[in-house]
Amino acid sequence: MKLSIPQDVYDQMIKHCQEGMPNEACGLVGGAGGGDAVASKIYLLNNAAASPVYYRPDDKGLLAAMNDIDTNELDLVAIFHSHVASHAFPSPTDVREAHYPGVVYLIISLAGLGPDARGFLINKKDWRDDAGEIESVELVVS
Amino acid sequence: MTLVSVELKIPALLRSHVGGVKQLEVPEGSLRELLEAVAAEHPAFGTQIFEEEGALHRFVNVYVNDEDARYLDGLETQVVDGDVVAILPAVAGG
Repeated sequence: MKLSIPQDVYDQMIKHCQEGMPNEACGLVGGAGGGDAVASKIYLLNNAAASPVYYRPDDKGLLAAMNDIDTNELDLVAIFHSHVASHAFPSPTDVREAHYPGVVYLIISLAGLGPDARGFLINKKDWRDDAGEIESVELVVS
Repeated sequence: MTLVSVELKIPALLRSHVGGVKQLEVPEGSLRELLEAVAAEHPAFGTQIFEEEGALHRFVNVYVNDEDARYLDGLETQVVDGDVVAILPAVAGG
């Protein structure tokens, strides 16, 4: 699977993550889903957990973003968050709390010299399961 | 005269279980009554959101007018005409 992201959407996502330091930042990405996905709109959300090791979007922002995605006939194509001190790879918590099949989980690591963004699908037999298998997604920023 | 009822927003993940619609108009009552009525009509929807004991699945969040029902009266929260109820799978991680 591939996720194409316009440069300006990508830049906004990275900036939001950097501005959220030292805590994790998060948000949603709308676009066209189904097979290879194309991002078109970003929703920068507040991390209600205000934590360097956990994220949970604030309810009002999350609901408004989901409503906007529906209103504009978009699909939710990605959920992003930052890792402030670890690699851009799903943590056990990320896997356990992933409940959006087919939606790319974008992780932006800020632990290195520069931001490192990677995408994953977290495939589960049942979306409510704790356990899942991680599948890498190709990101194309242009 | 405008007919007003409770608007129930269905997340993309569950739309296939309710005929593909984004939202349903449902009568007022408790959240439990409202969701069980939808589940009676669409059994697969019910098995997705409820545990066997009748509680909401822990990864299913329900909001009434943007407030998490867990911080209201849970499934006993009363919703009235004009209210908006939204179901969302949890978004979180670490």
